[in-house]
Amino acid sequence: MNPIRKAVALISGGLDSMLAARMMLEQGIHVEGLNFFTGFCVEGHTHAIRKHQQTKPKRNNALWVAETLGIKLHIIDVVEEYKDVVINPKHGYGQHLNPCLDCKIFMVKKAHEWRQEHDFDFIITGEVIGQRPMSQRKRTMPIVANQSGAKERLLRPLSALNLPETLPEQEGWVDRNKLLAITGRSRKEQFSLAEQLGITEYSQPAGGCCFLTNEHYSRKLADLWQAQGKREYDLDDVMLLKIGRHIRPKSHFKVIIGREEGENRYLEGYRRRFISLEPTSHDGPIALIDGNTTPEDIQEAARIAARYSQGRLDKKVIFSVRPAASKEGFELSVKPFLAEEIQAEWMV
Amino acid sequence: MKYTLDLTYLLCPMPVIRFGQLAPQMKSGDTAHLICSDPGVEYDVPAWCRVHGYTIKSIHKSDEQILIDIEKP
Repeated sequence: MNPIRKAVALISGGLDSMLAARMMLEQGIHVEGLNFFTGFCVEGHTHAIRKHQQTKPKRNNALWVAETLGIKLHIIDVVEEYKDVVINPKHGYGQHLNPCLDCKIFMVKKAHEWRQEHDFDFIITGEVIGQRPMSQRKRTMPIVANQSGAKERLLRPLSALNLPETLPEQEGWVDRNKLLAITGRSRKEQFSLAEQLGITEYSQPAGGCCFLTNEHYSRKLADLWQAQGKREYDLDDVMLLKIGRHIRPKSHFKVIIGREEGENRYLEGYRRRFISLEPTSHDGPIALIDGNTTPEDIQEAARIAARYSQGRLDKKVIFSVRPAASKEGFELSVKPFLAEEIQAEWMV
Repeated sequence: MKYTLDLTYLLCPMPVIRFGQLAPQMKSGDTAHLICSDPGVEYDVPAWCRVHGYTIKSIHKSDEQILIDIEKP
């Protein structure tokens, strides 16, 4: 009797990886999913932070896909290892700070390592030729297979008929005749396949899932690197760049100001790391100061924060200023900046 | 054995990642008490448990925290 073959699937939570996994399940392959957490994903937590998005489903889409398909999902923290991908991408960046080709190579390489460790037979992804400008092109998809080490054990069920045969097809573990030849950016074939398979619910498919593809986010990350004088980050940096207004009045410090209740609550958790400003005379957002500051800088930061409080048109706004990780602070009274005094170039 | 994980201020998917790292160390019948603040855990943790065959014993919510008790079958 032939052994049941096992495939590990990269599961992003989007439609394509869901379809790829389902196609393998339909062929009797045992599938387990991998989802790698880099810190840069646009996912439920950003909705969880912001109060006005509380009605949006806060589910982790990869977990939802796994449960829907009835497969195990291993969510793996790769934040530290992924830094080299973001900071030194061998294949460069896309339009912003998105190292998409290096990212895909990294993820397939990690999947390959997991496959070997857990004695699985091959890897599948939901990649489609021509769907993404960097990593999902006919020219670059072989690069992913080769440089990840996965080589002929990497199968892309949705585009397989436009790619050379892989080991699972050659060995008969997978019937190539049941694989597809989807190409391009149109989603029609995927939607049609989903309907055929009875999949009626799925998250935003195949794109917009990484903050590094976002122009504004990339600008904030570049600003962080410039201010630090080096290309480094930690997970807190990655998370903070996703929320609040970032205002840099001087090269050596910036002010992060919450935009609404949920963000303010989230920023409170960072009082352990930064100087915080909380208005006491008026309603207003909490602000954090990131950088090495003088008393004059703190004054300036407070005047900026005051601009975003209910006291912005008043003569003074009073703040409680708390040093990092301190429960005790001091009171500071400032005159809010006028709108025209907030320089456009300060806005990150 | 009862384990306690303080996952305050950790956002999705870090709570399930941290619990996923603990889970292999748990023996059958062991329980884990998760202290969370991310509203997303109300979906993520039960979903993870369903996917991996663990049992949610209880979920308690207050303004500040979400407390989840899990048992390994």
